Amino acid sequence: MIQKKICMLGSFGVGKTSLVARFVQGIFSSKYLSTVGVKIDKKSIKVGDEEVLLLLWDLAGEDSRSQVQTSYLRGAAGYFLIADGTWAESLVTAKSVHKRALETVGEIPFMLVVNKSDLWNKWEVTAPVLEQLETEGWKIQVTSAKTGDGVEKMFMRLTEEVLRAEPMNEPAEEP
Amino acid sequence: MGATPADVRSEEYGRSRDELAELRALLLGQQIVELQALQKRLDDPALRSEELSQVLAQAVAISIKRDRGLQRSLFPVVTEALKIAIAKNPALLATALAPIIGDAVRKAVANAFRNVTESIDFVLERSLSWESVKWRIEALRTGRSFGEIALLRSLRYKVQQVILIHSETGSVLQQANAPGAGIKQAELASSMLTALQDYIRDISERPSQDLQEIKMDDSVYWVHHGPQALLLGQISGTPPPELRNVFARENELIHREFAAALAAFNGDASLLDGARPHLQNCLLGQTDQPRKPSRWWVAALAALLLGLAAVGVLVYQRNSRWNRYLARLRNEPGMVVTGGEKSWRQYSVSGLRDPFAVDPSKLAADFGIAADKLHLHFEPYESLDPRFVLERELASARQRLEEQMISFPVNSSVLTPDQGIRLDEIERDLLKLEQVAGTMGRQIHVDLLGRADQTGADGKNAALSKERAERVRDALRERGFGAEMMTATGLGSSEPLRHGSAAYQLEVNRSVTLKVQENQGDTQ
Repeated sequence: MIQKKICMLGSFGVGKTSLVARFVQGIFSSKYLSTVGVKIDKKSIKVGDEEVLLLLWDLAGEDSRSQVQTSYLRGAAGYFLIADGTWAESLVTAKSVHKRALETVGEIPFMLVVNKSDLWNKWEVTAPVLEQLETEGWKIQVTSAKTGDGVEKMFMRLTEEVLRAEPMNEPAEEP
Repeated sequence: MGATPADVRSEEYGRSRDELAELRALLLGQQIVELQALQKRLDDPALRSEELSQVLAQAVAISIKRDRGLQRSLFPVVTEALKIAIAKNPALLATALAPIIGDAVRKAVANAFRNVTESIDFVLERSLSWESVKWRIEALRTGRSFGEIALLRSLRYKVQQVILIHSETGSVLQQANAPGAGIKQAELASSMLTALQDYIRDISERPSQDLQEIKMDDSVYWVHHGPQALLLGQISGTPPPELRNVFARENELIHREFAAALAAFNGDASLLDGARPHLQNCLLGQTDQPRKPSRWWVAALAALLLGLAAVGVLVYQRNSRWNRYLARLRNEPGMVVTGGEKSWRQYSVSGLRDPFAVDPSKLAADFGIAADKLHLHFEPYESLDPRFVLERELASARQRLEEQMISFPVNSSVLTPDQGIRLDEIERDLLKLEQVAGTMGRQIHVDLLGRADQTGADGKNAALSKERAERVRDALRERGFGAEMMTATGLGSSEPLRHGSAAYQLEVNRSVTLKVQENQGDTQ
């Protein structure tokens, strides 16, 4: 079974932990998030014939006082940028986190997840903004941690991206 | 000078060429200029290098993104270049490494010192114990080091589980557990450990700080950090410091044997299946709980002491019984004990014994000595003890009485005069018997047994024999013996003294004999 480390990044309160909780049955309490700044869960999913064990690193949210500890991104195969559709500022944060993630781990697969689709009538993030990001090559998934819409899909899509992005998996040559 | 035909041709040729050039300039114009510039770019190495330098970085970036071909192609070149650079200017590498190596050396030294300190503690703690003496003997015997024996034999710990963790991703590369032990969520625990490691590095001032151990109440987690992977061991009890060396050695071997797999790790741990034996080598220790070394010994010693005590008591009792038995025999009248011996299974006594003295083998039962294990060697003798003198008198009087026989004529119960002497003898012996028995506190009773010979009818013989016995009784009563001490019994011809029909045989059977009974102590 292949193991992949996936990080969840984004502002406080956008629903990162709820999205993970929707997806897995965790064993750690969320107090880890406030102490160590990370909570880890796992979930195994099947992509094609491949069984993949996702190790989901839910990193403490970013706000004006604290930034995401990018050292936790080390070794990640991909990451989610989580934003809250009803809160435009969270998308700005997601973009800045993305920039710092790029500096830390370089170009690895990522996906923008815009959460709270159940509250669509209160959305501040507009369709043209998201379309613009898509033209820049961003993968975007709209979800609702409350109803579960799009949750399975976001994990499946990123995992596929991660597997696709892998170099041809040749063993390194010994010179 | 006149124009030669050749000159004319040359002039024409030159003119036509000019025209062609003019035509070309007209037709192609700017392209020719560009073509010339292009030619110059290709021909001029300086210019070409200048141009290539502008796109090289981008080209390399694209190539790296596409596959790893460029890295592989460049590898030998870069290695060679590095070798040349270091050979020419070693200071270059030294300067580059100095900031990293300082920290690495500091860490290694600190680690070594901690191990030494722990070893000293450990040795001091054990050096004077009985265990350490045993280990030293074993070390001498087997030719192994004392430390190794101490590690093998100090059983107060157990490595429950060992996990090999990819340092960068926190993924589980391999794991091995002792039967029935182990963290259930090894993947999460490993990830969390790497997270903690990252966290500690982030908050500490020196970013190369490593998490070495996590202590719990009843167990400890030890971490050995390798360049690519770390080895996490869950240990219950108190592990000896030598165990760290085992972890370090196995992790280093894993790094050596699986360098390529570790470097190329992309989530597929099956490439490291071969590393599992190294993990199993770390599963040392024997017991979950801190051993209480004296328990078994105390129990065994107690059992041994109890056993010895029980044997001691038995031996003492046996000796004591034997001595009391011998003492009793020595005190017994009519008995002279000249020797008494006892081995593990047999007893033997020798000496002299009066036939009237107590039977030593019957006495043995009273002292718990089995008759079949007792060998008696007694020579008979006559004791001068008054009791035995009387016994002998009693016995001889009795014997004389029982040898007497009063005969009768055929078909008669009349005492003939010649039997008077017999009756006198009987009277004398009976008086003697009465007297001796009285002295000894015994009563005697005499059975007078009348017989008839085998001729004649049985019924008549019975009456005849009874009459004969009664006659003798009457005669003895007349001589003053009480009727209560005598019983007259007619045996008929059923119990003849002699079998056969010869005259002398028949005569013997026409008689009365005496049988003496003794009742001991009735009068006392």
